[in-house]
Amino acid sequence: MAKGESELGEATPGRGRKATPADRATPSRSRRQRISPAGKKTAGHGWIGSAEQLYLVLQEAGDAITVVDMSGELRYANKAAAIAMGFEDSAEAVRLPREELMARFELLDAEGRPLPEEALPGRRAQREGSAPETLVRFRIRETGDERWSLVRPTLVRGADGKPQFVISAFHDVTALKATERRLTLLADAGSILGRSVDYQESLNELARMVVPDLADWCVVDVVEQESGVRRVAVAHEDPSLVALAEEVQLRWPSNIEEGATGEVLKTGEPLLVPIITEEQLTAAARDAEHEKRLRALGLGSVVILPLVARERVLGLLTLVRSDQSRAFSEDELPLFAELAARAGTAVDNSRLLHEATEAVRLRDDFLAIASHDMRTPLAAILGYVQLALRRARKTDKSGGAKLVEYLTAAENMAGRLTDLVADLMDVSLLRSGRPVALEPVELEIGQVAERVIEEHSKLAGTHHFVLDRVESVVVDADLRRLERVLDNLLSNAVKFSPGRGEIRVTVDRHGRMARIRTSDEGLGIPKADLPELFTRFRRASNVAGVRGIGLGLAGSREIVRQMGGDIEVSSQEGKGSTFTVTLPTSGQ
Amino acid sequence: MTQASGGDVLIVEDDPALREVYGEVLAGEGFGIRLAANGHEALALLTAEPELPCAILLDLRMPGMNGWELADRLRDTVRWQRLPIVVIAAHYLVADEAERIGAASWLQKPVTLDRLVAAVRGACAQLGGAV
Repeated sequence: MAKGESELGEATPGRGRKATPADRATPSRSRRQRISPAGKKTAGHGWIGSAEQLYLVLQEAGDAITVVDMSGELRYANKAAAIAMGFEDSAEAVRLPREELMARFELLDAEGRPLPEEALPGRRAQREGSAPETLVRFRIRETGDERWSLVRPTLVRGADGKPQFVISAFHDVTALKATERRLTLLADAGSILGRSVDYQESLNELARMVVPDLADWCVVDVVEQESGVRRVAVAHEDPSLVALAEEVQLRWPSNIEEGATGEVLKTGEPLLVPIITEEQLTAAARDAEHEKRLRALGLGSVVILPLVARERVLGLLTLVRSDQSRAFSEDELPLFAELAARAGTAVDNSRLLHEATEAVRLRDDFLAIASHDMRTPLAAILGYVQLALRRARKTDKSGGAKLVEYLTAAENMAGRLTDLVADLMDVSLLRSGRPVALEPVELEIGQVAERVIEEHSKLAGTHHFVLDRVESVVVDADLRRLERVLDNLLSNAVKFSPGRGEIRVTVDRHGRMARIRTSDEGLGIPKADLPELFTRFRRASNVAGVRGIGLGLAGSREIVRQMGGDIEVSSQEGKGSTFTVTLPTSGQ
Repeated sequence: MTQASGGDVLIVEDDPALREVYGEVLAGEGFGIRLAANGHEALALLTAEPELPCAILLDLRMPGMNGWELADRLRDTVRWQRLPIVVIAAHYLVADEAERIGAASWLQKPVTLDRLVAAVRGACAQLGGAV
């Protein structure tokens, strides 16, 4: 930033500006403590009896107030202004040479960028006659103390209308800003951590967000179940320092599970070292070369926090500040602890999700393999039974009829087992997003619907099924799969109309499509649930049908779409639902 | 049931029980039967016999030379390239795999014998028409 004037110390002429007669005519130091008598306007209130009283009011005001004349000289600073600048009393501030006064501050705008001299509100007021209230952030270099002020400048003119000086009022909003930044930081951390299920990625992003505002270094370590502690993020504004940190870790590897970090991992308690002393650094170094690098990293003040979730330490968040004037303090710990807690929860959630996904994948793989491996022996059983049945039918021997009966029963059972295995495979395939191998044949839909309804009627005594075959419609579809879909829709209809009610199946043609509609008089589906209805695979038990294991609505829609059709739903809460299956008619 | 559909069917299936079932049922329908447990045996049979079968009933996953490899070899040989193949497999993408190797039709295990017979008849009829 420009080492020039600031709103707080426009006390001496700017560099390069030639001294003018006005400079030489500057009143003595003692007089500079007083407001110029030209400021008549401000003393206009009747109850203020004297300039002395006015002086006291200004001096004791809660907000900082400065007066800078048109040449840029600081003429006056009240008590609050002096304290804000880090002085015991205002005379001290006014006495200091300008350059020296300015060197004490670092000036930034609301976003943390260096504030150019011309943009200072007082400067603008001087130049343009007025300036809006502006948020200015300044850091006192010596103490590291950072303040935020709303600065409101006022240009005061003399009786002749000529500008005379600028009064600036500084309203301190540091506490407000600290709260605001804290909330913003936590909100940002929350959104970063919630964005990705890959915690490595989000922790990296979190570390990059934290520097350099909160700390100069941010390091995140995560405890892995198999491989121990792993460093997942190292962030610093300067990439060459990140490279240096990597080099140090490579040449002089330190075990995270030992020392200070190890202690935090073990106890789950945060560790604060406000000042890392020279001696501590020397003691930590293994040799002179190591010490040189450690010093180059800039390790001034450190805080190590455990990432905790469900009472387990899942990792560490280490923050380092290089500048010891900005050493970490106890009162910052609650914010850091909150940050670490959020990171811990993110790691935990990501792991839980991973475990759950893995479990589902294992189950689906198992289903696919099991159903595949059952097919060959099943094919042989079914084949032998069918062969035996063919023979038995031809035989004239006594007992042949009985044999045919037994073998037919065995064939039926083998057929049912075959269907179950096929359903199992369908479900596992559809759940993992893979297509099923369809075996389309010509089907008259009314007949298929009739058979499925018949089976449901036997089971559901409370519901009355009506089949409305408006016309005969032939489609090319996979029989078993179409049966499963209808079975699923009827099971849903029964399940979601707990009272007695009619379940109507209508078969007709709609344009070039065959149409099967199942309507119930049940609970209906809440509007909010409709878009999700077909997207998630629900537990098979929710929609277990009369036959086989339920495909669910998602699986049903998938299968129907593979056959060139679709399923849609319309529903009214309290009145019931209608599911419509469409399929291309035969020959399309 | 129609007898003497004519022609032989080459059954390539590694499972002996299934080989027997397929053989029995197709023989019962009047087809001549040649049995092979894998692609190598199938190629040996095709080379040894002067007469070509009217269809090949082909499993995909087999030890030794599998169904995909055998299909490749058949397509690369002028004498065999038009032989109709009926794929019969447990593979979940059997339809896609059958299409990939240019099969006449496919069946997913387990299969009813009626459908097996129908598929083989269809394949043999296709060759009859093509020759």
